[in-house]
Amino acid sequence: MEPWNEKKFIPKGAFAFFILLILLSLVFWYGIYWLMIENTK
Amino acid sequence: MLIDKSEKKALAVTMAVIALFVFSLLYARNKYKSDVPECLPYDKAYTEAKINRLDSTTYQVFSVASMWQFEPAEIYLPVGSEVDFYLTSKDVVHGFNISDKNVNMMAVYGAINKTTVKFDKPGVYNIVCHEYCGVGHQNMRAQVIVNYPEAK
Repeated sequence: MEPWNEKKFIPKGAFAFFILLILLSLVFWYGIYWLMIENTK
Repeated sequence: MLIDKSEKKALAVTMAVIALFVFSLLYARNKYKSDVPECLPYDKAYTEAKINRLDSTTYQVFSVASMWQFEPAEIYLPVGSEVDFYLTSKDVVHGFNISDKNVNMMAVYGAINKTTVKFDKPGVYNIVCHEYCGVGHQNMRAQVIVNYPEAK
């Protein structure tokens, strides 16, 4: 059995946070983008 | 320089998202002909408030802001009008924001700011001053009334 501190660490939380951050920024950015396009009509 | 594989992926995703934003902006700019307001050389002709009808759907509005009103206060247009707003101020700096339109300009004494707006939907569009200009600031407003083709 390998010691606990030599296991391959995968930062799953950081990956999930990063993906959510990207998705949230896309939602906000394209939300405002769509509103501004609607305002040109 | 040694970069971890997951860091490389994060960098690639970030750059792809930024590229997507930039291309979306360029696409919208070309498709909807959106542009930023212009600052014109000062000319006294623009300091007199008036509405010029160039043809059935093209108008020029010389809008003059002062404490605490916009002149003209009511602008009647037919649906589908394209309007060039020429904006100036008689005194302090005022704001010029048309609700539901991408118009956000400053009315500055001694300067003429111009923008073009198309009104395709009938309705009443409020113009508000969004730069604090004194005690009457909150009452400083005007209206663009986009009516059916029978409008004045």
